[in-house]
Amino acid sequence: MVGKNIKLKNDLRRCRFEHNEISQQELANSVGVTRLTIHSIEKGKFNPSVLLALKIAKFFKKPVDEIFYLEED
Amino acid sequence: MKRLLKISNNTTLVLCSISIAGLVFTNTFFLMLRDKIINIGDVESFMGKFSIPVAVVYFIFIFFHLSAILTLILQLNFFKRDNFLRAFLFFTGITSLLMLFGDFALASDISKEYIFGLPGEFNILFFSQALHFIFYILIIVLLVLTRKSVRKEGEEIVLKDDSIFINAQYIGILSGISGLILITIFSFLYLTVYPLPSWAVDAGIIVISLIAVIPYILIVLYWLIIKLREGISEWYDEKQYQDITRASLVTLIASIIVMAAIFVVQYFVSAFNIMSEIWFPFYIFLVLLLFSASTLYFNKSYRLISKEGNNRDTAKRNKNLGLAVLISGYLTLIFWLLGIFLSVEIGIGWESYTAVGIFGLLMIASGIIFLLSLIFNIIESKENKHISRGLVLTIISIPPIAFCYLAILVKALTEGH
Repeated sequence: MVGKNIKLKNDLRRCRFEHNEISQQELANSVGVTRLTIHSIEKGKFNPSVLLALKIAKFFKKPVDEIFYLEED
Repeated sequence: MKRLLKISNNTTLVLCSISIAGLVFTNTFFLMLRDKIINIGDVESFMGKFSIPVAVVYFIFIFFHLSAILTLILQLNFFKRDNFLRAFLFFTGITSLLMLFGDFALASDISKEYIFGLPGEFNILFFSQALHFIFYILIIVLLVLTRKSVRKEGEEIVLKDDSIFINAQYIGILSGISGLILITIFSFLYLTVYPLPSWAVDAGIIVISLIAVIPYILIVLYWLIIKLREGISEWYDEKQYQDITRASLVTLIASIIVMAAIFVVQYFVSAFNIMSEIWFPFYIFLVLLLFSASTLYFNKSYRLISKEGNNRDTAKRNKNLGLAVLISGYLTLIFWLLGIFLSVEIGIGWESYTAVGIFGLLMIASGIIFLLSLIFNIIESKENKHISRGLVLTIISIPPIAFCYLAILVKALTEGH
């Protein structure tokens, strides 16, 4: 059973760091969103759509669940 | 682009310096003209002597405004981060440009009406001059501040820009606030204090509304022109879509609550009857303000609550909100007392009306800030399991705010329909 207080977390910051420390703007350009959207995802203030999550995972050449995962609040 | 921006910056800076000298000249002219009218001097020959130099200076003003607005548009395109000062100057610049044409109309009225005494148009003319001055000074500040940044910026490519989106919200907030304040004060003054025919008040409201809304229309048109190159589905990114959807819901609920509250209050307080004249522009500016403010709020992802040690900025913000309630609450009480003191000691006149007008605005502002502060601080206190400083400040500010609202309620119930 999945609990009520589950939140979507991500390792976007670490992924960017491992990917030659690309900037939020470069990642935003690659997946077709604004820098503020990437910033908000990193800070956990915005949950991306499945499409955007897949685009980000494709960009980093990683499975989605390696970047985005669920965590008990 | 960088070169064009540099040329535009420098041209605007030079024109601005000339315009400041020109503003000193036109103000001296208007002050001397006012003195001549008061002392019944030879106004006609004085105006004849200076009309051409003043007209030339006004042409320089127009060139400067056009150059400044072009520079601001170039800056909006060039700089990747949003900047409130830039958005504020875009709004003030267009308003100031429109007021230049208003100055011509006012000067023409003065030249026809001075034989009947000192025309009231002088007050609007000096208000307009003050607006020009604020714009001239602030544009110099912006141009000087951005001179260095032009060299550094522009290296990073931005495919999906959000700075125009955010600047449009800033301008929407400024348009909404100025529209609401100006039409309320104007219609209150000219329907109740210095009565004018209804058609003249309507014409004034239309002109004021246009002046307040044109900067927003222009920035939205500019944004549209840029976006027309893209498909409609690409106009917003997914976070922006989510933000405007949430903002639309907030706007729908909040506008219904505010309009319903005004509908009820106007039944009891006769001064609110002016709403029957201004409800449409009032509603437009209210919706513009609510939509722009809530879109900006969601887009910038301000946090409502803070967890201890996790978000100190939010705790600080909530504390400042509490402080703002405290200050605005006691200021409301002071202006309430000042209004009573002035109307008793000096009698009912522009002084007491001004005090009561400021009291009214402060009362609305303190009520809104009080509710926001109470909600945010209660959530924060609940999360952190101890009373936040902001909540303490909010509680301390209850007596003056409650007193003012109760006083208005008692007045409404005793003097209502």
